[in-house]
Amino acid sequence: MFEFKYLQAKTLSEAAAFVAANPDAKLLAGGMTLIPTLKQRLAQPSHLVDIGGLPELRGIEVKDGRLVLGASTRHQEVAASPVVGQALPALAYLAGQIGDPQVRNRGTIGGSVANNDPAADYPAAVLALGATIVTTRREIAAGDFFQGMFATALEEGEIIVRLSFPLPQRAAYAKFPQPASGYAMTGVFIAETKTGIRLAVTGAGPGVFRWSDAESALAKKLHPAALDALAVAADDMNEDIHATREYRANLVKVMAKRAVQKLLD
Amino acid sequence: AGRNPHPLDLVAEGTVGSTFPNGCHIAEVEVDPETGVTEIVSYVAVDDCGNVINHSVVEGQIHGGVTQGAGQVFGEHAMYDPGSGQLLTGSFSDYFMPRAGFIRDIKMNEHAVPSKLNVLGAKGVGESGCTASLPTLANATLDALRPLGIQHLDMPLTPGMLWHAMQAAKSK
Repeated sequence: MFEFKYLQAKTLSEAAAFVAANPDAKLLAGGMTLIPTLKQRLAQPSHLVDIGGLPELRGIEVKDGRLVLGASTRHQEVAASPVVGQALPALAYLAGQIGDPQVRNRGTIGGSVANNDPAADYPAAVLALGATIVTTRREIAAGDFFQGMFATALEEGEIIVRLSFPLPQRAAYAKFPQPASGYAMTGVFIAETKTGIRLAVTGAGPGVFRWSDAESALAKKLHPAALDALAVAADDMNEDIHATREYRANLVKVMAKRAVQKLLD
Repeated sequence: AGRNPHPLDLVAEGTVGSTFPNGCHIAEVEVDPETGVTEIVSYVAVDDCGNVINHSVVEGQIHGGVTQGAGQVFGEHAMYDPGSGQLLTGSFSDYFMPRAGFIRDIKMNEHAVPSKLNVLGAKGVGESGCTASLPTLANATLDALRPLGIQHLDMPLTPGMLWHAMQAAKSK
């Protein structure tokens, strides 16, 4: 690691003011992406501003038909929460599939969403459920938030405070893990909402995306067989040492069908 | 040992004969045609490592060795970029290793035939698990795909690799 200064923010406004005044400072929540990045010397922040303990970023509650999660809620807290287990069990399941127990004890939903790793799990749920990302400056709809590989709508110094999920009638998540890292090689989140079926795919393309052809087919018939005639273009898929684009395109269809089946079970 | 003995001084020499641990392993696997994932449904290992002095240690050696072979069959692969020579699988985020639970249940039996070549009658067990599990699991997987006309597969038999092999066989 390169040398940096560490400070623990006492309030959210103190943290926001500090990162606004120090553009080379980085926020630290769980550190499950940031710390390995620093260890490999892939980043050189001037300061780490630790916001993981801020009370403004905590909380799991259901309010007015929405599940609201504080940005620093750890994956293990979401996975084990009886509130989430009751209101949105598919999200608890998704959180329990992230990484391993050590990662889940530290990693946060705010950090995962702000980082927008193309193979992260949470973006699929956030997009499929049409969640709202509440920051220190505004509220951003999921559809406007994710802007490509590691890119989001967040401005310099803008901090995610909480995520607000409208509760669906039903939802399910089906994930094919990358065998070495455990990230999603393809993850499909499907939600049956007031506005219809929404289906989001992570891990397969440069960023999380909604498979609109699948959504239309499932609106007509909510059954895995409705996807039999469909395919995603292999050209739009990522290719790397772990999977070809053709294999990812195949996984999108297979995991989408499995997600539908889980929804119906 | 001379006038100033050192712990590494040679004290005596002898010859010890090679011993020949041996055994038979059987694996049953199922390959998911949609994803190419191979599930090891059943694994049986019968090994002759001569007289067994510590059964727990022998079990541990077989567990570890069989799992190590399984890792090589299904995922271990140090990959280099052909243009630059850069190691692409530089960490365990990219280099697959089998974890606990990769093989759920290994049924083991000892079949001890004492070695005549040493006073313990022991043959050794450290290499038995891996030596056996490599061909056992690779051939079981090949056997599962033989009805599709597939006659040869190179390790590692990753899900993507098997899926592509099945697709290629279908289009023939």
